[in-house]
Amino acid sequence: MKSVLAKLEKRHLLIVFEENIMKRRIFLKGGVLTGFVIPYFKLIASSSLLLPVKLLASWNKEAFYATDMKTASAALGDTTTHAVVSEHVFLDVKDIAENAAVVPIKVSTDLENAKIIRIYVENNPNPLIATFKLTQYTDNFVFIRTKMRETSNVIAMVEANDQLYMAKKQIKVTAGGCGG
Amino acid sequence: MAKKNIKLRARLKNGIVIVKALIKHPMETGLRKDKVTGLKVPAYHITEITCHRKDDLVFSCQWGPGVSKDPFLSFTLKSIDKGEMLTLAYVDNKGLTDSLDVKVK
Repeated sequence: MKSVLAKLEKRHLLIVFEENIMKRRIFLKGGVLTGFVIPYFKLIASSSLLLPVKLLASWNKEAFYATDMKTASAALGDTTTHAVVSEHVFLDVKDIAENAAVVPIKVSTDLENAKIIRIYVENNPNPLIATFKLTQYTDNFVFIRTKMRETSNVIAMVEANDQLYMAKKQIKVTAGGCGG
Repeated sequence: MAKKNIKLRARLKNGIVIVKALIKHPMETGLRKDKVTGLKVPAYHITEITCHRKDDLVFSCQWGPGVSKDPFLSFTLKSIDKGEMLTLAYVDNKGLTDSLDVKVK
C-alpha cells in the first residue's frame, strides 16, 4: 500500500514538474517573441524615420524627357526664350572627350542672385542633363559627369534676376578615344 | 543593414566646404538595347538629389537620364562650420531612395 502511494506521489510530482516546464516554456516563448518582435518594429519605425527627410516631389518629366532644347526649356517654364551669352558664366570642359560615357563638366558663375544652373548637351536624345537649385549656402559651383551621344555643344545656363545667361562650348567626341 | 550606395565627403577649405559624392547607380537612359534580347532596357536613373543641414535645404538638383553611370557630383557651400552634419539623399525614378550623413572636416 505504501509503495502504491509513493508511486502516485511521484507521478503527481512529475506532472507538476512537467506543468512547470510547460509554463516556463510558454513564458520563454513569450519572452523570445517580445524580445524579437519589439526591436523589429522599432527598427522599421526608425528606418522609416531615417529615410530621406524632405525631397522635392516635383520632378519635371516633360523637360527631362524632351527631345529638343526648345520643348525642354518650355517645359521648365521659361518666360524668356533668349539666353544672353555672358562672361560671368564659366563652363570648364575639355575640348575632346576621350570617353563619351563620362564627360566631366564644371560650371560656376559669379552672377549675383543666381538661382538655377542648368546643363544641356544639344545633340543628346534628351538634351537637358540636370538642373541645380542654388540657395544662400551654395557657392555657385557644380561638377558633374555626363554621357554624350556625339560631338555637340554643351550649354551651361544660369538663371539670375529673371534673366537667362549662358556659356557654350563644343566638345568633340572621338569614337575610339584616340586622336581628334 | 544594407550597404550604402553613396560615398560622401565634405571638406572645409578657406571658408568653403567642398562636397563630393559618388553614388552607385546604373543610370539607364531607356534608349540602350539589350544585346541578347534586342529589347530596350527601361529607363532607370536618379531624378533628384538633396543636401540638408539639419532642417535647412542647402542644395538640391534634378537629373535627367543623361548623367553618367555611377554619377559623381561635387558642389561648394559657404557659411558652414567644421563638424556640422550634412545629409545627402537621392531618389530615382522607381522611387528608391538612399541617404547618408557626413561630418564636415
